[in-house]
Amino acid sequence: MKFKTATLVVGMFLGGLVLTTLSEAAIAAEHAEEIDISRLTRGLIKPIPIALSGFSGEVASVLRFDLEVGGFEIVSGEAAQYAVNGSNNGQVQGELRVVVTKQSLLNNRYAGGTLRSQAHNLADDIIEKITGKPGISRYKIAFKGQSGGQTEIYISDFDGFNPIPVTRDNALVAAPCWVPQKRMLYYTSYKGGGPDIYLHDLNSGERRAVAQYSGLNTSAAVSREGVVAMILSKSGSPDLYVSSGNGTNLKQLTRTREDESSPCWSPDGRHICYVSSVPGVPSLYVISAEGGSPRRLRTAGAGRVSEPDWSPDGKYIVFTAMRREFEICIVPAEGGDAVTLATGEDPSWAANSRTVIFSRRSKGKHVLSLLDVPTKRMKDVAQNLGSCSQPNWAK
Amino acid sequence: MKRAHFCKLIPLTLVLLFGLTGCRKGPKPLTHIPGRTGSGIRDAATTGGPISPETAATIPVADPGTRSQLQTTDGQTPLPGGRFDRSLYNEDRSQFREQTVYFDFDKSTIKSSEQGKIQSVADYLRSEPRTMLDIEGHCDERGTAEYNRALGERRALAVREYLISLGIIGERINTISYGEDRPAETGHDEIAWAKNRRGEFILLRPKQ
Repeated sequence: MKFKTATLVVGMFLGGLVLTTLSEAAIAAEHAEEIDISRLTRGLIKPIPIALSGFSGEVASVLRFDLEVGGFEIVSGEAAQYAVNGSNNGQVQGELRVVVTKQSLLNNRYAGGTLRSQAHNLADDIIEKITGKPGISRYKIAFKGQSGGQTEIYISDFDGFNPIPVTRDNALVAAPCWVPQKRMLYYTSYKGGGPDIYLHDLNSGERRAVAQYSGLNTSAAVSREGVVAMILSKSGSPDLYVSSGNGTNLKQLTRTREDESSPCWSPDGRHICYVSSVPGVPSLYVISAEGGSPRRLRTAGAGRVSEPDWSPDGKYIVFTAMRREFEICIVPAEGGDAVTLATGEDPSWAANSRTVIFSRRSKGKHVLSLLDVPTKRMKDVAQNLGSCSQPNWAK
Repeated sequence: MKRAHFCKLIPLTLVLLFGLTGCRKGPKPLTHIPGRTGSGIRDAATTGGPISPETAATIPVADPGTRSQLQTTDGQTPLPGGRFDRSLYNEDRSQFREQTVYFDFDKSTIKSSEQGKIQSVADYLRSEPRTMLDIEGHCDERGTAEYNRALGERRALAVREYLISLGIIGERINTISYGEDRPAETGHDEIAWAKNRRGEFILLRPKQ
């Protein structure tokens, strides 16, 4: 008798476990939105409806913002597929449930940091549980901030909060680029009398010039191995070069009469995508980091293109189409038909290969904005700094 | 006997438990994404701090009387070894203010209407052999920031090549592109845009 009861209990327990894990897998699979360009074009991907309750003030704002950027829509209880209930008295606590089954997917309490950072962590955990993809709220952005007549490089949270100036030179700056996995930034500064590329260690505060040749030194982009791609005009025309992280071992990869600009790396560090005006119209090309013949990348329908960025999962390239307005477009990494995502320029991928930060012109200044590529939902970043442009998202 | 059966079920349960949780994870991302305790970028504790002293590049002062060491290939002459040292020269932006060269949209070709201005700059440089020249390249706002920085440089380089073709040696001429960052006019129409697509000359006279 005891044996049969025990078997029954264990059997039910196992059965319950199987059901739980299978349904969690199903949820994650349903919402693990890989970007599918054909679905994008047909506008088929809808935000996931989610309800929030029990949160207040800054915590509630952060949760709403992060979830909306993450491809969710905040709705009232009835319409929701998921519900988050929690509190923020002294610390953030939140429980995520599937509405229909009331199944609890997570129930977390957060400690340390600020309430704001705890709220970001909860949002990340919710997004990761439902979509299967890690959250992005703790990755910083760098950008060019303009206030009065002065431009400086800034870093901040991805939502624009906690901005900190990196430079204080009162010199023209441009094109910040994070070193992967490090608190180090490359950027262009005119403090030496012309556009030069610097490497700035944010931990030690040390900065060194990496390229300060005559003419143009700009558009530094770093591979995961620390190889720097850049645009130099020292040989008489703006061309693509690569070097070691400190600027040594310089190698010229293109040698054309037209201008090359804005290189970006494939995530595996083996290829560089960049812009060349050789065909008469600025177009995307891909070249091996070792050099050799570049291959033109098809961006059908986009016209004059610029500022590519390669997704961390290797699958897609976003770029700016310079039409009557600037528009953010996407193509598969092997090229194809360009799909327009938003009005704006200078896109930079988040680590999740799903969210893009870019800048758009609004009322005579630049504003940073976040785009959820699958749902095409956009949210402006908070900013008090005047005009902000050329964002780069740490990965 | 009964206990033995029951005891076997416990390790079986554990195996199944771990086996099933193993199935839940999605595919590993291509690039490692640091976890909460990893090396991801965190809230900044420090900013700025002391900037270590940088060594200024040694800038050779070219003797304008010598033949150019810079070999032109395919209409493209390498730039001098470094920027002109402002501790050695005084800037004069007024000398060639009337000679600012204008360009068509998205182009860096020297129009025939502009050639005369560059010729008068060349004449002056020939008459003042100890002077140097910076050419600033600029764009209108209808390109992205880095595209425009490269286009502005091409414009400055095009003016430089024209001066070289008129006999001025390349060592005397440097280029600085500002892209769209230093407009001459701040409007958003063709009148303003036309005034921003330009190459400006900055004469450098050696300090005595």
